[in-house]
Amino acid sequence: VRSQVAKGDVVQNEREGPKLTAAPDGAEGLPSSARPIAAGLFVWPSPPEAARLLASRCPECGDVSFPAVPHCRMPACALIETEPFQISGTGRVISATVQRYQPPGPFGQRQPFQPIPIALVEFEAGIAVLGVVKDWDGEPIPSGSQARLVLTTLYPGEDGAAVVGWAYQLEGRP
Amino acid sequence: VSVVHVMGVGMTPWGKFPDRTFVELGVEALRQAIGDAGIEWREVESLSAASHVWGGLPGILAANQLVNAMGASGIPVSNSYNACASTGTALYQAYLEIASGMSDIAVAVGADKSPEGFLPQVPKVIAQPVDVDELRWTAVAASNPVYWALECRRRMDRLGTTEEDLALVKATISRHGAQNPSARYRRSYSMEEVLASPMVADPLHLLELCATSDGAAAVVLCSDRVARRRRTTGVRLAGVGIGTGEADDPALRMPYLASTPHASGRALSESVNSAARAYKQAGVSPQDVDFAEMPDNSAWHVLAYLEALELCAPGEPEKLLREGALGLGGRLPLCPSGGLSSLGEAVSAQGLAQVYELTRQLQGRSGSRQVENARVGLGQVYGLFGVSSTVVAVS
Repeated sequence: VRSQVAKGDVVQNEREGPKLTAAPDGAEGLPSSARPIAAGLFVWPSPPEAARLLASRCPECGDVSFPAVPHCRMPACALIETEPFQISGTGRVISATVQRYQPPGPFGQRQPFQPIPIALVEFEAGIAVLGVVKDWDGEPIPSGSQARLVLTTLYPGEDGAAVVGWAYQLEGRP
Repeated sequence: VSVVHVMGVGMTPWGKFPDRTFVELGVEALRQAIGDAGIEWREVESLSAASHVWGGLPGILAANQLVNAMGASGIPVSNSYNACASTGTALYQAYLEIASGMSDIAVAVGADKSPEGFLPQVPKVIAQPVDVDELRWTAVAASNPVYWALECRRRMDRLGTTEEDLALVKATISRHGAQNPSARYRRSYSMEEVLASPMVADPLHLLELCATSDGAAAVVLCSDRVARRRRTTGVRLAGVGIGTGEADDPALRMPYLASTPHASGRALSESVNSAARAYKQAGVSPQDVDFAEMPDNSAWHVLAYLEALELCAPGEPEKLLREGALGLGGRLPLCPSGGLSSLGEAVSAQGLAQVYELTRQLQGRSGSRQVENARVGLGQVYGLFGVSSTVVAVS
């Protein structure tokens, strides 16, 4: 996994220029001290309204994995090396729920605890990715809703810095 | 394949026992099982245990602790961790001891104590970059019920399953648990009570999810050679299957962050695979199964896994549920023990609690919750990262 993530980063750097450690100036909605949940998950730094997840794709069968994996998961493609692939844009909600009890981990530390809407969103590449829903209006999120992949501050880290992850912005219900 | 007999079974009451160690619970289950088998501890030739991961190294090495507590006889031991299929894996090891002829009497045991509330991430000593079991908590707040709720919603969209159906699952199974003296929740719930319980992850209510419990269970297996001259339960362990998930499975399985929804793959493939192996080994077909202990971690599981086990046609579980076919006295009674919803989930013990119930049912020793004319019983558990074990027991 590590080598694949590194590979993705290299490609990224070619496209995005030199790596920065903090959010770019003018990246609205994200404080300058923001840092990603972990390296290798999404293009960083990046404007929050257009998240790009660092996935992998099999050059043989096209199977997409997120987080990226070094080899294709399909048994027919066993040990075929994947290539970097980015997931971005708008997808279709295929299921959604709301975590209404305080979960273990950093989301549960938010005070006061607010229910966390979570959606499973299918993208054109054939993969569905789990993510929290940003700016939820409290109404049900039916399948078929349109959701855009964005970056958002999830919670403050132990050092106080804003921890950034991917999330979905609902763009319309069916 | 050699015939493998169930010689005896033991099980502690399930609940929350803050003053008891997992070793005490395991010893109680082991003493019961060897008493039921009518043997002495020194006759046991091998011990396989499921690892109690919340107990640190002594818990991970559960068999080593238990063999010392029972009498350090020098026998071979093994420890299995396969998430919720850990006990199935320990049983598989004991089964192989007998089937291979390596042991004439082999014991499988599971003893667990669970944390309160949601099962958290297993603590780790060394950081692992891009670990999905960490990211599920740090990137998405996805507790186990979140995964089940998401799959449940997909089923509701596809088949028209209602919130009342989910409540009826709990109402049906809790009637069985009310009659089980070892269950933690010994009462039946009405559909109204279930629907009035707090929402945990829409559409799953608190009473549609299993709690986490402490408990232990043990099973003594023996060879045909021993069974000819000693008493057994009269029950054979006909098949033990373990299965893992397939890459193109459309279900989102814990703790992954993504799935392939429109693939032609088989849903809940780990369950399909473990059941297929158990059926094949046992020489029985799903139609032969008289009753089943399901992995009823949530009400959704009961409906979905009936299909994965091929005990129902796709889309049929809701119909059978509404007809009352899945309760005691019905065509296919599910979880006559009350299931995980009445016992509570004890990860490293639950599969053997199912074998306890299967054996007692097949012996006709289950009292008021006896399944009539039970000849073939099935038990299944499933766990994190897509692993499942299935047991077929035959009288």
